[in-house]
Amino acid sequence: MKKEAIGVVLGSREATPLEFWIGIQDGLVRLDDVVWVEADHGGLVVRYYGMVDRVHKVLEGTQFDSDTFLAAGHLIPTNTAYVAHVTVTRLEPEEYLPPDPGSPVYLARGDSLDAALYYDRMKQKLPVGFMRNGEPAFVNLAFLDGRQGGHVNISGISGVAAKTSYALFLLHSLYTSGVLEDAASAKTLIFNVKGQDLFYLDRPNRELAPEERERYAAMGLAAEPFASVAFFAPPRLAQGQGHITPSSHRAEGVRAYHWSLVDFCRDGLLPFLFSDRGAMSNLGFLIDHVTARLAALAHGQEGPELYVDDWPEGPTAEAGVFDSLGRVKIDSFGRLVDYLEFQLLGAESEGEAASGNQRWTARQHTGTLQAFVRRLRAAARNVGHLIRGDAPSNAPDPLGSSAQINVVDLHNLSPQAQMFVVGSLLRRVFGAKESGRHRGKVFVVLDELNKYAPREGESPIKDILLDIAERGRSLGVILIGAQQTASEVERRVVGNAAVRVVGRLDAAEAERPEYRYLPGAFRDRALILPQGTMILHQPEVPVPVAVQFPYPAWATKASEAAQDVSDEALKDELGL
Amino acid sequence: MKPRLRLEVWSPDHAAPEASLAQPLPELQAEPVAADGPWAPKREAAPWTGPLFFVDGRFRTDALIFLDDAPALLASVAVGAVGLEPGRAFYEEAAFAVRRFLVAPPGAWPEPVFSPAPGLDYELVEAGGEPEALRAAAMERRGALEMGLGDGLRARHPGALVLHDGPLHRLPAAATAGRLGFAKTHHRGYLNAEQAALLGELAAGERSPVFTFTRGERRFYSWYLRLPLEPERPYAAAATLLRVETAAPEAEALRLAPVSLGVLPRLASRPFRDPRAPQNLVPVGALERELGRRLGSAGLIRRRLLEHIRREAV
Repeated sequence: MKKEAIGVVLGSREATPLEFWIGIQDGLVRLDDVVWVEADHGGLVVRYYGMVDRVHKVLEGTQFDSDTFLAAGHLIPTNTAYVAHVTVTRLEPEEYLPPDPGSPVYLARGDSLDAALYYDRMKQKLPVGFMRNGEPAFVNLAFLDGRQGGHVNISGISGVAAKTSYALFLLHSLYTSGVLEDAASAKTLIFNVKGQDLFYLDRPNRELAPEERERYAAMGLAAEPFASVAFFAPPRLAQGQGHITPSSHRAEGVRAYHWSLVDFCRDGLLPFLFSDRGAMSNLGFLIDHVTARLAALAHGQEGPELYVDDWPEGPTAEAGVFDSLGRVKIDSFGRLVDYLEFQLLGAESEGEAASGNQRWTARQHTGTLQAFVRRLRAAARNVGHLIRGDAPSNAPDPLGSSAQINVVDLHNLSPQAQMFVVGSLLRRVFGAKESGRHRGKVFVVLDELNKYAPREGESPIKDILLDIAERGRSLGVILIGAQQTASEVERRVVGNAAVRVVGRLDAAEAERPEYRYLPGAFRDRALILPQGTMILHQPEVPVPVAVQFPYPAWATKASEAAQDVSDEALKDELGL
Repeated sequence: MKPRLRLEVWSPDHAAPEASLAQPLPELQAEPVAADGPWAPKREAAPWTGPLFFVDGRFRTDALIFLDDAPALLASVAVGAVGLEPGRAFYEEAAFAVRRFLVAPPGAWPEPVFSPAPGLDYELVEAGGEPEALRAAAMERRGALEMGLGDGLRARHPGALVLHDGPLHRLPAAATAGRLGFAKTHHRGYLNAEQAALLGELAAGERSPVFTFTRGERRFYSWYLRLPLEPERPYAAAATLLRVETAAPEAEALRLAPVSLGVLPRLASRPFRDPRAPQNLVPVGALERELGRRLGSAGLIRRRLLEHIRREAV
């Protein structure tokens, strides 16, 4: 190891065991540089490792600010003092004695860098980017995969902070670094919330520069797109009978996802249509009751359509809705709402005197029942194409799928439909892991956590996210969550994330207590972070580390997707 | 008639630069140098392209002690130089020196050095018994150090112009080339009343013609120049006046006079940053601060002395 002192510990400012200032004599020292100092306390040699979190220069020998003009005009001699503040990350041995002013300071490289950031203690180091000095940065896998801690939370302004890009980079590292032992059996569920940015994950990025490839190689990662990806998009809204086509720009390899009415009822997905369960005290109870009744109704039915035998009127003015047993066929979500309205509020023909079926109404006030029906009626517009009676379920099944990564597109859906899809899928994944049906790890990438698990109010989907946050890590369900503003997300969801990442932040947001784990200098820096740089905090390392990550090796839009003109691809496309 | 109001620029804490500009002692009466033209303001300035050094020293009395009954002065002297080159202002590190002196009557202190603490060594200087004489002896050393420093600079930088803050009384006769001194205060007059009237007419950046006088056995050439001071106010007559002198022969004096106009006015200090503006030139002010720093903390030295005396007390 080359050992050249870059400066000395300053004596003009306090040197303490936890922080000190250094004067820089030689070379450049910048924020994030890692340094070490050794001090001999009467035979007890203590080595201090630390990270530079402030640097500044001042002209010495000046009295007034305007003396700088004289100095710049070469009229008075001055000395430029170049000093840096170091926050100690580690002492060896752990003796909290202050370092001696005048002790030489060295840049940490190789082993000393590993010691400074505790990389030497990590058994499984997952590469998570580069530090400013060009060395790879790591996260202790044990704090990410659930053994000692789990979950990742990423904050930052949309469009600038590159939250999704960083989440994907983390996934890429998890899958290809070889650090995660059972990577092959790990499954990932990603929700695509913006454009169809994630619909080209399996295509190489043709704008990837050669030097970016080298950066991947330097971390031991392949500069390749994701190998095993399945894409799901909601069906197109307007379409005729029969063929259901996905709403996607990508021509091939995208499946339309939807649920059959029978599965919707049997699996109890109704609550995910209600995001404001707390709005009325009785509504929650009614939702649970109706959900249970629907499940009972669907029991034993094959679907996709639902048959009921207690709807004497049936949907009016239509033929062919009664089957041979005289049961009424419900073949669309709208019909299901009609049926529930009949059961809860009574037949429309009876007018004011109408009353609902007591087995369904659960003794709730008419007002509550009406509110329930009103909400469902509004939902029909939003989820009618997702919950259907004309086709068997084709819902994404991340754990059952052969693909490692399952991208589910939400960006065209209404907020209510997004809630429904996310809630249903999370419940499915979490339920499967709870029952022990899948052994590998499951990663869930979800942006806009503030929408699904807001700080205020309660909703079924928030319950599931809380479950994942609090119990998921022991079950092997790891949430890689992101949001613009952590202050608007349920505290327990953010609080349970062991690894916290911050991209560019809004100035007001950076002042909130949610970011107090960042030292002041890092909070200030978060306001100007460029795209591709993140501040990463993990439990084992006492200071956050600013990391850069390479340009995506996978295409993030159609124009980046390298054209595949191989024979096989053409055959695929032509259906030969 | 109302009295005419004029402001002295220097802070009243310092001795005023003006004394008696127009009452020359008979032995100092100056003669204008005819070769510099008629007795009128002159403003041709010449640039100086080579290196330029300002030399100054700082003197501090650390303590007055008694060796039995004899008073002795402990004084510290720091001398140094600041260099100006196009594009650079710098301290000439080799030129800096800090010396400490114990000035005592002959025979009062037995050893050549008094060392009350590590790194604090006072060289013995023997001088007559009155405190004033002790101080004068120490100042004499300071002057000699400054002149010696200027000699060294000229030896290392043969083409350099060395400017001393203060007159050149102690300049050795062999080392007059390339040396200028400048007086900020005017305790003595050199011009008669008729000649001195010209000084009131000098505008900023102008000088008087060169005149010559003898001091002791030696001949000096000298001239007054007026430094700029903003904002312009009715200041006292000597407020912005600097007297430059050289011990070199007439030809060099005539050559350096326009150079002084090229060099000095742009270095004039301003009242907000220096209580002796504008004559205490900007690089000299910076040098004085640096010298003060190198003298060490007076309080610390006093503490070391006290510790030493308590330890040695009989």
